[in-house]
Amino acid sequence: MAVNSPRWVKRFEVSVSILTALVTMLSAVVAWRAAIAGDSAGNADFAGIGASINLQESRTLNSSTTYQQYRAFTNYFRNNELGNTLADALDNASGEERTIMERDRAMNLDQTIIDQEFFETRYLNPDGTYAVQRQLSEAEAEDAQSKDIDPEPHFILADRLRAKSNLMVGMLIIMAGSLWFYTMASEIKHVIRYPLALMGLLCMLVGVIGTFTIEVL
Amino acid sequence: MTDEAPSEKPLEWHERDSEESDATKRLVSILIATTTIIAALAAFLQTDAGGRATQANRNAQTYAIEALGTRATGQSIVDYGWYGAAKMWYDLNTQASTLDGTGEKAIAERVRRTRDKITTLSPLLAEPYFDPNSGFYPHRTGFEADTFLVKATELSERYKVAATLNNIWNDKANTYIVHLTLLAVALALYGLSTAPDNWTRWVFIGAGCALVLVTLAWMAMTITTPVQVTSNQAIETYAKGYGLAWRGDYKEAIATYDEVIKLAPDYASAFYERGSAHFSLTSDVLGENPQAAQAELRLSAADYEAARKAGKEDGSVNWNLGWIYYLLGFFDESVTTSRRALELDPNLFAVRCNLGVTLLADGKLDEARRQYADAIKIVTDRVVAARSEGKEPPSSLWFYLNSCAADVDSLNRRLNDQGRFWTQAPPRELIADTPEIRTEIQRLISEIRTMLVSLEYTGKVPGERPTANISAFHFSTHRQDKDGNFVYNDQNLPIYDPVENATFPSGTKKVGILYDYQGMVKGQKEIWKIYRNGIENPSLRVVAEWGLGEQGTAVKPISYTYSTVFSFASGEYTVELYIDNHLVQSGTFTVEESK
Repeated sequence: MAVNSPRWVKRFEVSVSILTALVTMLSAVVAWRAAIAGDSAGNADFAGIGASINLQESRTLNSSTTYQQYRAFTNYFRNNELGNTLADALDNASGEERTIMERDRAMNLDQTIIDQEFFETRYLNPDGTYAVQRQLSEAEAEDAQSKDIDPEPHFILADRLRAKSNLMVGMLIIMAGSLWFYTMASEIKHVIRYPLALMGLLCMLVGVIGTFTIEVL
Repeated sequence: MTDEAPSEKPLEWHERDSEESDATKRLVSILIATTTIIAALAAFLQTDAGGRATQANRNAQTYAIEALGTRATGQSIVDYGWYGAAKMWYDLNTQASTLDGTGEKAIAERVRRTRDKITTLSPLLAEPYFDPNSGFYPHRTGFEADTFLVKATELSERYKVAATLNNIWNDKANTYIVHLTLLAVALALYGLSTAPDNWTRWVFIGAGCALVLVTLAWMAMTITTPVQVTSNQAIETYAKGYGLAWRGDYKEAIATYDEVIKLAPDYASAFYERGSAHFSLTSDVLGENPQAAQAELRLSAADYEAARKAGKEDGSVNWNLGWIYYLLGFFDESVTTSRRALELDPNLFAVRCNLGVTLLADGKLDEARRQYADAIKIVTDRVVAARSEGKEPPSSLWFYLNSCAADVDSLNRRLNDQGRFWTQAPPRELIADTPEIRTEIQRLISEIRTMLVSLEYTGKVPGERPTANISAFHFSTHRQDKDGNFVYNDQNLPIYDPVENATFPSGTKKVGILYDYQGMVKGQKEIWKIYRNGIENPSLRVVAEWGLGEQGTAVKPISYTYSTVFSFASGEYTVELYIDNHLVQSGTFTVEESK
C-alpha cells in the first residue's frame, strides 16, 4: 500500500485523530497529577507551620518555666552560700556570737530546704550550679515525644511536591507541543505530515515518560 | 411569467468557496493548536509563580513565628539576668553596705562573698556587661541585643522581605491568570470563526490573533519584570546596626546603617533607624547647647525624609520628622509634617501636642490653643470611654500627656535661658517671645498637668478650681546640732531652716518644703509629685487627704533618713502640689554633685 494511497491516507488521518484524542486525555491526567501534587505541597506547608508553632510554643513555655525555677534556685544559692560562709566562720567564733551565727546558719539552710520545692533539684550540678541548658533540652525532647515540633521535614516535602507540580505542568507544554504537531499533521496535505506526526508521537512519549519519572522519583 | 435567474451560485464558485473554507479551517486549527501551547506555557508560569508566592508566604509565617519565639525566650533569659541575678547581687551589695555602716564588718564580708558568687549565675553579671567595681548597673540593653534582639530583628526583617516576595509573586501569578483568560477568549474567537462562511470569519481570526499577540507581549513583560527584594547581607547588617543602636553605640550604628544603605539604597527602615541614631547623638548637647546639635539634627531630618521617599510614609516617621524640624526651628516644615502624621492617624494626640508647641514657638497663639484643646479632648474622650467600659487606657497615654506638658516646660526654660540637658526646644533666637506667649505657656503647663492628674485619679476632667492658695515653696533643711542630731522644738516638731538658693549639698537625706496656705478644706485630696531632672520619681509621690486647718504654715518633708546607705541623688528636683487634682504650686531645688 503506497503512502499516498487513499486507504493509507485515511488510516493515517484516523491514527492522528486517535493520537490527538489520546494526548488530550493524557494532558488531563498530567494536569490532575500536578493538581494533586500542588495540593499535597499546600498540606505539607500547613503541617510545617503547625510544627513551627509547636516548636516556638514549646521553647517559650519551657524557657519561661526553666528561668522561673532558676530564679528559685538563685534564692537557694544565696541562702546556701550564706549558710556555708557562716559555717566556715564558726570555727573562729565563740560565745554569744557563735550562738547567733549558728542560728543564722540554721535559718539560711532551713530556707534552702523550702527553696528546693520551687525548682527541680535533679538539675543541680555537683559543683552547686544549675544545669539550665540541660533542663531546657530535656523539656524540648519531652515535648517532641507528644507533638510535632520539627517543621523542616514538612517544608522539604512541600518544596519537593511543589517542584513536582511545576514539572508536571511543564510536561503539559510538551503535551501541547504534541497536540500542535498532530494538528499540523492532520491539516497539512503534504508528505511533511508524516515527520510532523512522528514529532507529535515523540513529544507525547517524552511527556508520558517525563510524567511517569516525575511521579515515581 | 418571466424567467428568474438561478439563486444558486455556479458550481465552480461552490468549489472555490469550499476550498477556501477548508484552508481557513486548517489555518484556524493550527492557530488553536499554537494558542494551546502558549496557554500551556502561561499555565506553567502561573503555577511556578503561585508556588513561589506560597513558599514566600510560608517563609513569612515561619519567620514571624520564629521572631516571636526568639523574643519571648530571649526576654526570659534577660529578665532572669535582671530581675533575678542582678537584683540579688544588688540586694546583697546593699546589705553589705548597710552592715559596713553599722560596723558589722565580718558579716558584711560574708555577704559580699555570697554576692560575688551570684555573678556566676548570669552572663549579664560578667564581662562585657558588668564591672562590679564601676558603680554602674549592668549593661542590660547590650545583653538584650546580644541575647535575642539582633536575631529577632533579623527574623522580623526577613518576614517583611518574604511578605513582599509573596505579594510580588502573587501579582505575577494573578497576571498569568489574566493571560490565560485572554488566551481562552482568543480560542473562543477562533472557534467562532469556523461558523460563518463569509468575510466575518476573518474578523474573528484577526481579533483572536491580535489578542494572542498582545497576551504574548504582556507575558514577556511579566516574565522579565525583575523580582527585587532586600538582600540577606543587607538584612543581617541592618539587624547588627539595630543592635548597636539598642545598646547605645549610636556612632557605630550609624556606620553600620551606612553599609546597609550601600547594599540596599532603598532600605527605608535603615534610613529611619539611622535618622533616629543621629537624633540620639544629640542628647548630650541638645538641652544646654542647641546650636551644637544642629548638624546631627539636620542629618536626622535628611534620613527621615529619605525614609519617607523610600516608602516608609507612616505616622512615626512624620511624627519624628516634625519634631526634628521643630528643634531645628523650621516651624513651617514641622507644622506640615506633623499635619501629615495626623492625616495618617488623627488620634495621635502627642503629635497634636507637638503641633501645638510648634505653633506656640512660632507665635501663632490661637492655632496653638486649638491644637492643645483638640489634644486634650482626644485624651479625655479616650480615658472616659475606657473607664466607662471598665477598662484602662494605654499606659503610653500618661507618658505622652506628661511629655506634652514637659515640652511646653522646655520651651519655657529655653525662653528663660534655663536649658538643662533634658530640655528639648528650638534655639532661643528662633522662638517668638511676647508677654502673651509667656502667659500662655504658664497656663498650658498648669492646664495639662492638672488634666493629667485629674484623669489619672478620677477618670474625669478636673472640677472647679479649689479656693486653695499656696505660697511659693521655701526649701529647707532640718536643723541639726553640733553632733549631727536633728533638733526639735518644745512640741517635738522638727525645726527647719531655709536653704539659700534652694541648693543642698551632696549626701542630703532630708528636704523640707516650707509653705503658707489659705482657703484649705479638710479632706481635700493632696498630691505631691517630685521630678528629678525632668522625670517624675513615682516612689516619692504622696497622695493624702488634707488634714490641717484652713490657713497656716506647713512643712512637707521628703526624706531618706530611714536609710543608712541612700540619700538624694544629685540633680534638679521639681516639686508639684495638687489640691483636688489642680496644680496649685510648684518649686525647684537642687542637690549638688558629689565632690
